[in-house]
Amino acid sequence: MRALRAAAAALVVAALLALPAAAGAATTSKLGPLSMGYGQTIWNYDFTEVPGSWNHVDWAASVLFYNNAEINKVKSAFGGRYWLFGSKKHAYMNNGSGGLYDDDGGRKTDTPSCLGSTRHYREYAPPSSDRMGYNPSFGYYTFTTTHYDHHELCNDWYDDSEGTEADLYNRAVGKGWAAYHNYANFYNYEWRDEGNHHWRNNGYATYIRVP
Amino acid sequence: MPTGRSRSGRALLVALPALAVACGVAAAATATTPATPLIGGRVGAWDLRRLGAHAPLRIAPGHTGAEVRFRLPHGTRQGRPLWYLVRLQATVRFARGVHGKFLLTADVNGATAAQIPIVVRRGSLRLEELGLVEGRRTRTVAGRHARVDFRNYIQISGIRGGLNVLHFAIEPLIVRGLARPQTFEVAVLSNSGIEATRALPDELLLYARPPTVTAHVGEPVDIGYLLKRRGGWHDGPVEVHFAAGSLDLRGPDLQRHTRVDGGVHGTFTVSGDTPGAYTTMLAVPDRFNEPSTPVTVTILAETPDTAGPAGRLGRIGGGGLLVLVGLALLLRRRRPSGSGEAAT
Repeated sequence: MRALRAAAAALVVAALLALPAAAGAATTSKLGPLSMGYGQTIWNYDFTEVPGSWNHVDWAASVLFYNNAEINKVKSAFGGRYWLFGSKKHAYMNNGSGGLYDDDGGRKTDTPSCLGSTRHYREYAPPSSDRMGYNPSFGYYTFTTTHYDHHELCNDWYDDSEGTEADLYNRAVGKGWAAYHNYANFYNYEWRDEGNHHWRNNGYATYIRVP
Repeated sequence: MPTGRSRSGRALLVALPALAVACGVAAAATATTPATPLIGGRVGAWDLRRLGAHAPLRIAPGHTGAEVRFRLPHGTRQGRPLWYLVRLQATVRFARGVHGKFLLTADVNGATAAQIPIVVRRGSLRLEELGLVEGRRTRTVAGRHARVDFRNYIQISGIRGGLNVLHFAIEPLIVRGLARPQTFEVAVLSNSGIEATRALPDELLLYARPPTVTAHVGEPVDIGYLLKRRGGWHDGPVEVHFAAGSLDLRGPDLQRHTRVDGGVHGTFTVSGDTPGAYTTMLAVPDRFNEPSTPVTVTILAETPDTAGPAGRLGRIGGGGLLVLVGLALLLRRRRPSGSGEAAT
């Protein structure tokens, strides 16, 4: 696991993609690529539009599924609770074949409403293969952003990345999967309010081993 | 007159049932758990027969997969110094009417080393193999039958001294038609098994030289690279790709090298029409670890020739900067040489 930690902690020099901002999008000063080893890189936020930029990020990457992860497999495994499609956002990554974007609506726990709240995660990997590359530390892996939607149809706000991260962790543990809560620093600590975007992310990602 | 048995007779009576029980236990043990072979500790390949299994191992709907047990010498660790690989050689066959996506996998002690998505379409199968020996191989096969021959390094956490379990499985993900009989059949063939090599997982190291460049509008600027390799697998042809983004690329966007040997150099040339910071990307796709590295290109508004007094100031400043850099280099050369090259 030391190799895992070392690989995840190796933050390479940030190369921000400076492009116009979208109205209402959140911003960050911590956008950057995380080197996963073997030429593979993921960016530590997802974006509201393509190309991505520090001034239209959506949420911080906070969960990494590894070992035998694949987008459809993970979504199926959590499908009992996370069953509803969400709106699409975009993540940037490099699996060694050059930079590319993946779009994902993710999965939510409930339908949007005026008074209800729904947990929501989006899972990313190159769209051609639905997993990042293979390496001897992680096996096959994907990465995920998390948050919590509130009152989406009336006076909406969004928060609690940590809570949804913990929810995925607890469900994985409940399945008997190995999981490591707040395992590796993804260098995306955000704890502030930005309009209705209430950042609640401690910067440490949870690792979930998919059997 | 007592007719009791002699001491030796009683001993025989006790011993015989005990012997019979012992024989029965031994026979049962042979039938259910064949002797687990001790392998590894040297370079070699251990196919299913040498692992004590009868090939082919068949996996059909309702099975959890097939597994083979083997032992490695006490203290064995992945890559210290031997690297262990899994080889998965199999045929897969899908019934008509089945559509969707399956994962064909091989793992050692739960650490997945082969994950091959198979997309089953009406008249074809699409397979994607991804590992550290052959890189990425995506192919489409006509019909509903395909053969797989895949090797990959086992995860570091997957290898340990003592008992190990090699497990093969196929998992339906999003599938229609699973209710049909004989939906699919996988035969894990005899050449599947475990291999040991001294060859490290091949790694290509791609460096941008330099990682950031600056030019003026319309001025061509070179983006150089150095590609090196590490590991023990055969050298071969590579293609270095360059993604220029919205910059103008002068010449083709890929360069071919027949071998990497001790390292190969190359240069791409770009120019920009609009000032700004651009992120470009050098990459070597489809080979081993598929390295890539970003190169930031900054395009400045004015060319040196058209600059006015400000340009002169800039040139003076630039000259001063060069002097400072020269001084820094001189000072650095007087210090003991540092560590080697940092990977990008």
